[in-house]
Amino acid sequence: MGTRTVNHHEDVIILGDGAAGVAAAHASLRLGVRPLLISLGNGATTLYSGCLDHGVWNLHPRSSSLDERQKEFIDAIDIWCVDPEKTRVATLAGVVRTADAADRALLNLASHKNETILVPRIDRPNWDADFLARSWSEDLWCREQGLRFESFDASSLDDDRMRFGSDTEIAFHLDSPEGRTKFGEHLSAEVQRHGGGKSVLLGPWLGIDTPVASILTNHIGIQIGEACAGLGSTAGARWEHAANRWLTQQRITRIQDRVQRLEQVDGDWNVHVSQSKRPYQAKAVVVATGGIAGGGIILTSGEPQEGNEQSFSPAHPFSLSYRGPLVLTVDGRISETVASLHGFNLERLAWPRDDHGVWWMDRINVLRDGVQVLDASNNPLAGLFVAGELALKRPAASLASIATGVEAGTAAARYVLTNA
Amino acid sequence: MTEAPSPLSLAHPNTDYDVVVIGGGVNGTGVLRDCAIRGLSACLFERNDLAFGASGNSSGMIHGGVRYLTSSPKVTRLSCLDSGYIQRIAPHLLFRIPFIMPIHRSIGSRIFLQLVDAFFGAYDSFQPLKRGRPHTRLTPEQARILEPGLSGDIVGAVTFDEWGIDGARLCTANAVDAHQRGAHVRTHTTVEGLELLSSSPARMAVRWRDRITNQSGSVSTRVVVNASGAWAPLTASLADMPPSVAAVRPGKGIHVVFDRRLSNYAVVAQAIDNRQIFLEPWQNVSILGTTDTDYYGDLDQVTATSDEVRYLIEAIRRVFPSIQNARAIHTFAGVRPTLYAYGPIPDKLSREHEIIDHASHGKDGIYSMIGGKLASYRIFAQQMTDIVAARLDCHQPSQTHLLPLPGGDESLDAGELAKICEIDPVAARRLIYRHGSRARLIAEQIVESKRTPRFICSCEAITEEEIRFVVRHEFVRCFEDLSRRTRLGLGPCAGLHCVLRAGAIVADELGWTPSQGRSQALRLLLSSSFTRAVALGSAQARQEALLRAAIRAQVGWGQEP
Ligand SMILES: Cc1cc2nc3c(=O)[nH]c(=O)nc-3n(C[C@H](O)[C@H](O)[C@H](O)COP(=O)(O)OP(=O)(O)OC[C@H]3O[C@@H](n4cnc5c(N)ncnc54)[C@H](O)[C@@H]3O)c2cc1C
Ligand SMILES: Cc1cc2nc3c(=O)[nH]c(=O)nc-3n(C[C@H](O)[C@H](O)[C@H](O)COP(=O)(O)OP(=O)(O)OC[C@H]3O[C@@H](n4cnc5c(N)ncnc54)[C@H](O)[C@@H]3O)c2cc1C
Repeated sequence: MGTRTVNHHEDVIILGDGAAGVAAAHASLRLGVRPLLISLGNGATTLYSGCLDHGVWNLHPRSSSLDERQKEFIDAIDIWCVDPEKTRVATLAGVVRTADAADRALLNLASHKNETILVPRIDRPNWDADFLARSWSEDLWCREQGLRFESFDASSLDDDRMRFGSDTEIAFHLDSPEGRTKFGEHLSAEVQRHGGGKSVLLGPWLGIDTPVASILTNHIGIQIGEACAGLGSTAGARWEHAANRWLTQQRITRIQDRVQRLEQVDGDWNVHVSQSKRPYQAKAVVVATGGIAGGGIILTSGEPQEGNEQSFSPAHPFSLSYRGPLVLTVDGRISETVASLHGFNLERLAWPRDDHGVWWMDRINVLRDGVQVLDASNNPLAGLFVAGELALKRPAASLASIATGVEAGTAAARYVLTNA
Repeated sequence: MTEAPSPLSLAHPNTDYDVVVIGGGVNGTGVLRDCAIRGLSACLFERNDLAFGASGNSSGMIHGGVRYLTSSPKVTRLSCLDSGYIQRIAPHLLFRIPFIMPIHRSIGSRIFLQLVDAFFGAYDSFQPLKRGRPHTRLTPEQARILEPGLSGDIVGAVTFDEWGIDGARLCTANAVDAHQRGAHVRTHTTVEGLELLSSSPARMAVRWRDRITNQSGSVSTRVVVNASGAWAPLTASLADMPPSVAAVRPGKGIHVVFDRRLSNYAVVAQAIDNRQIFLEPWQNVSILGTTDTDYYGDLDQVTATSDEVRYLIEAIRRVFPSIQNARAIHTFAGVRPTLYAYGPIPDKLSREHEIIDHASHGKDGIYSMIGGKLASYRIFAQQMTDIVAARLDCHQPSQTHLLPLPGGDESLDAGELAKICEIDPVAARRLIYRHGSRARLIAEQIVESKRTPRFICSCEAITEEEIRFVVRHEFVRCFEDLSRRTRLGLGPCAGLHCVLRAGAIVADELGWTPSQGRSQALRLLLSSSFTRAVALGSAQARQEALLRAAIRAQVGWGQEP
């Protein structure tokens, strides 16, 4: 083992910088062990909706079970409000949903009662105020609470940015004091013209690095908040910003690169990346590279092998996006090569037909005991831990990712401390 | 969640018709239109949706019957002629597909190239009938320049010219036109029985049931045309005849759809069993097809399997290797109603379609249309309607080759239309493709809305106004009907950005509640999940995961119907 690596002084390396990876970094630092993050970035967390749950929101019982470490992490990131008993948000699909925690910019309907919430009519291609108001008003819980939604004309908010800009462009604009003030004035004037109102629901436009929702609420005396978008919402950009801020504050190095290989050498772990010839080395590694959506797991079945003119060659149906000793499992069976040159029967990848079936690809996870990674014969791989979607055998959810992240970060730090 | 009710009060006060047509494929809608033009009162029943069967799941080509060139050139001539007529009545629906047939080096390949060249030379003499261009013979170098994706040791290539068409749009156009001329169109309404009326011997009772509302009833008619494609034997049995009187050989064929146009030409390749398959640029995607296997399963649920997909990929990748890195986004399958023959019978093979008069089976007034092609639907429908008309003492000749289909009367300039309603010229071109001159009506709606055009589906460039137009004027009764007519939700995004919003619009138009619209939209996602899964590669798998996460976050789990 000749080459000394660049970052040996960092005792823990965390692969992946989504919710699980950053939570692991937080937990590790809490025990005084400095982590190094290596990730391509832009995983599932970057695209998430703004809601945090332990499981899929309408099936999983509401739960506030967060331990101290998880709470500390959530406080450190400082964008979420945790109140599982009392969180209801409106989605852009016209549904009102519960959440265990949510981005503070989202309008929490649970703190409203017997009220008409206003929805501005804006000339924006993916914003249909009339439909949204009608659809949210249809919700049973809202009706019980006496909540109604009403659209109103707000044409002074129409400008080219509203018409053609992306959600994040608008959010970025509202981050600036001038943009924000002007928007607030127009909105407030339109509400007065409509005959007044206490609360207004908006799209995912309320800032990226500033708490625009609370600033404007205080400023114009009307409570404003966002509806939750399904994919690529501004909440994801806020997460990116907040995580970055925290990592910078803590002076934690983040390397943006593709992990290619993970190997154990003399009791240490070497992480090979694509842009550097030398591997990064550490005593312990937390693998938090996400699932199919985040790019941590790829479907390999039926993909041609590179440089193989002849034909396909036998392969696992899916694999991690880098090589290493980790073993993937589905339903307790470890992944093995498929008895076909063309991959496995893809029919299995269709969505399950019954309500509670879990999609096959949601069940893929790393062979492990808790967060401790095991090899194929069920022996622990010392110093290797797993977190996030890779450590879940059910549909991924952010709080579950954070919980496993905290668990794995703690375990990795302890491992380093005891083996120092 | 129960089916959302259809608000279109399908007022069909008339219960006595001259003609009842069973089946809303090209043949059925073609006959309906011809009857309506000749002034016969007619009603069409379609069990599922227009173009649900073979007509909406074909290779989408209007070929000139090149297959029959050696056995019976007369058929080729007729096919080319009729293909020319279709172009005349619906020019907007056709697009040129140039084919390239590379010949790979093997024993006798040079001679084979000569033969192919000569063969298409003979075909050239019919091409003017359908405004086709003459074939060319290419050197290997020329072939590679024109189609850089070709691989292998090529001795030469031949190109020839065909036309593409969207079968669902063709059926819809025929049905809309028939409707405008007074015919009735009842989709999602299956025929359940055919009986002679004892009260008036020249009439028959047709019992129907609406599969959405479960309402049932019966109408009377003088003539029944069974145009139910591969279902034809089943339909015959509804009239108490043995299914064999309208036997078809059910030949299943599948297609794989890729996210973009992968080649300049439609590339012809040979499968392992020597069948010819092709990869064709079709509208803004590429389509790989097709298979031909006997199918004895449920005709209402025909889907491609991963085996069939791999058979096609194996065949095309030898000629066009980059297919392996292409992204498959969708598959579809249909069943050809091929003329029945146990073992090849030369006479049958030289014919494409056949009309069976069931008088010889004791059921005077019932006819079955078996076989056919998109390319020859018009002439087939004319032949059928000639018989029906003669029987009903109607002496109007067919005019279906002269009168334009809806939207086919005038060609619009995409650039101008784009300016009028401030949309992208590419979007305008797509709009005109689907609606011909009727695109103007949609453009007017966009202008009238005084808003920035709301594109709901960006894969196919479909605006809110187009969705509303299609729902109002094209017999949409459930969400999948919209998708069949516009291809909404079938693009590379797999419905991620469009289905929920489109569901809301359809709900608004049809008077459903927002949650009914949502559940209909999710139903489409669920059913198309299967058609995507069988061809899933890594990129599309990620899309699938994102789609699922986004739906769950916004709508919840288990809300999928
Ligand atoms: C559209 C959407 C909506 C969602 N909505 C909700 C919701 O409402 N409620 C809820 O609780 N959860 C929701 N989730 C789920 C939640 O966001 C995820 O479960 C959670 O964020 C997963 O975090 P993670 O850290 O495990 O993975 P990720 O956030 O995916 O992070 C993995 C990281 O690893 C990196 N990586 C992967 N492979 C490599 C490699 N080879 N080299 C280097 N880096 C690599 C990726 O680039 C990425 O940055 C949603 C997810 C999506 C996609
Ligand atoms: C894979 C494939 C590729 C093809 N490629 C081409 C091509 O490139 N070019 C070409 O010209 N032709 C092609 N064809 C052939 C062409 O598509 C068909 O021959 C033609 O569409 C048949 O039309 P049809 O109206 O008879 O039948 P269909 O389109 O199958 O219509 C029959 C309809 O009857 C309905 N029905 C059934 N039972 C009942 C009932 N009891 N009551 C009411 N309705 C009922 C069904 O729901 C169905 O919609 C292809 C076919 C296939 C399968």
